[in-house]
Amino acid sequence: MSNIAVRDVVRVVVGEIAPEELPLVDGLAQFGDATAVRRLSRQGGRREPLGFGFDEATALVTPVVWLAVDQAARRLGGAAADGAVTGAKSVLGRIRGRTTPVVVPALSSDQLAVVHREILRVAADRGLGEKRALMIADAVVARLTLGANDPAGPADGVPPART
Amino acid sequence: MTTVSPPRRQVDERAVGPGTTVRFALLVVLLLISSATMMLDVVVGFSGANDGDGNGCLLAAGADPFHDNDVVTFTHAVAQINAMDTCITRYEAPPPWWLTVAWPVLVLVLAGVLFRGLPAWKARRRRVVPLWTTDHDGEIQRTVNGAAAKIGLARTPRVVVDRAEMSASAVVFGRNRRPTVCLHGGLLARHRTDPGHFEAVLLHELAHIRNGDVTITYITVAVWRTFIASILLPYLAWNITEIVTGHRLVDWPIQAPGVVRNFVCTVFLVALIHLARADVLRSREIYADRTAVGSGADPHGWAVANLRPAGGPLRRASGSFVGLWHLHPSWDLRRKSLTDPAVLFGVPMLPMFLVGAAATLISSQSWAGLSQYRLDGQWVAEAVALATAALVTAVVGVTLWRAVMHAMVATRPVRSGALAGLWLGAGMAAAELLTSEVATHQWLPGRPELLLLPVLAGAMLTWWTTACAHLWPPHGRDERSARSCC
Repeated sequence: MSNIAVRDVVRVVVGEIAPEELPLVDGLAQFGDATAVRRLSRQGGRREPLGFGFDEATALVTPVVWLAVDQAARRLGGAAADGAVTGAKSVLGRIRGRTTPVVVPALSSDQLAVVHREILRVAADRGLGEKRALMIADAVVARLTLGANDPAGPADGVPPART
Repeated sequence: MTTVSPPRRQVDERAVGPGTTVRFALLVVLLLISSATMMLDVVVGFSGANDGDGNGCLLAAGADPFHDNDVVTFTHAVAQINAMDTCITRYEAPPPWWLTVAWPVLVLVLAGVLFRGLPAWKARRRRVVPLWTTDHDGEIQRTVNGAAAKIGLARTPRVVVDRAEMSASAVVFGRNRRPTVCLHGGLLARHRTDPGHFEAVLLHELAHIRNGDVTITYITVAVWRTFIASILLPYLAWNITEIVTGHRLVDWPIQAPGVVRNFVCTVFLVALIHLARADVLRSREIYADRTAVGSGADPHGWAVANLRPAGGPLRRASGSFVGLWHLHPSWDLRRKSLTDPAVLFGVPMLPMFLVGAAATLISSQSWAGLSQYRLDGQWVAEAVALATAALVTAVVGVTLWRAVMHAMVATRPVRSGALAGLWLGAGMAAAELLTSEVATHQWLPGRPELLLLPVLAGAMLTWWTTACAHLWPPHGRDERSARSCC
């Protein structure tokens, strides 16, 4: 098992469980991980004239997967070494409008269990049902277990994301 | 045995013009006149004319505005009016007239540019994509075409997608003749799972186009943003700099009322414009909701959980206050309005207060600007007052006439309108306190009881207008249209 980008995990899992959300994933993929996570974490949408005014995000799979996996990648330490760009490189990336995607390192069984629990928690916070949450958590763990070896989503050679 | 009460008759809200265009016009006029007078203040300060504060000739005339009350100062000035005029002409000449007129013109030109550029800027900022790039089987486009036909649009507007926006919502921007509907990524995700909600949102946005809301809304947005950037911020920066450096201050305790009043008046102007704009937009949302449901939208599309936390009276009051600043009505009100348009025919008090305040600000600022150029003769004064009165009467008159028509058709008692007028007058009186018209170098006017006059005048105006509307009910096509929903 090798590293895999968070956005690749999201795309594969959403494609399996909620394919109708793939345009949303593609839209977020235009941005860097930090921007995508900030948008996904936002509780209310824009309040703007002549909008419908329904600012709350509905119970979607995409934010659950992206937020939980991103948090796991950062918390479990691999992100800093493999994916998170720091210092001058980060500044340069921002100036050029590109950053390196956050990557999930190879995880142990215990760490995968942590990710599983994290997904169930985020899913509950976001109003998803228990059954659907379990389905998402299982799919994510399966994807992380397969990692980049699976032909569906290698992390190596992932193109830089737009910020 | 139970008795069934007869269904209450309802009024078709489209039977009478909503009057929102003239309310938007009032705000734009206020912004343009404020642009001229605020920047006149800055230009005079920069040029050094008026000694920066306009008190030099008063002192020369024997008045002491820093120690005498306003009445004594005014008496001295009137007693020496010829000498005052000569002094002002020689030492306190205002900048060329075109320099004052240039600012509102600049605001209009920049707002025009912003209005034309807003659609492209919004599309670029959101990184929107055409609908066909995500709608591979054309199903959503067919839904849009069907919705446009249902709502009665001659042609389907351009549709784009903001894929990264998670809310199950949409927005329309551009202008009436060339609108763009932007669907959010969260809404697209619900196209198949919740088609009722999808169509409700779509019809709501198309209703804004059909109701002609797009151009007027974005003109107001453009003028407001231009005003903030080109007038308000420079004005505040200049005033704060002058205060911090002490350039214009001779004696703070004496000048404090004028300086504080000036600052509070600016904050009041900003709050007034935001609140009035939000109020008009909220009513446009209810019109759009009703148009959408009237065209076949599923009312369950408005079945949104009430997110406002329950609480005591204080919490509810604070929630209501916060709601005044929102561009959308509460979901409870929107759902209720789907079946009963009564809210569109009400005479709410806050808008009345704001209209009254706007009237005084327009009138007093026009007067202040014109008097700098010695154009404050009787005819000019009356022309300014009449023009302001015409705007206010149009706004208030439409509101009251609609309320009377609704009450008569719905067989409800017609209210006198006097209470609304008291709020209108209260707005005028509150603005008087902030404009240095009735108190210049003092915190309060010498005879504050005179502020009751505009309050009573407001009540008289609305009482009389309501009585006329009652005696002159809708007739002909309007009446049939008004009762068509009964």
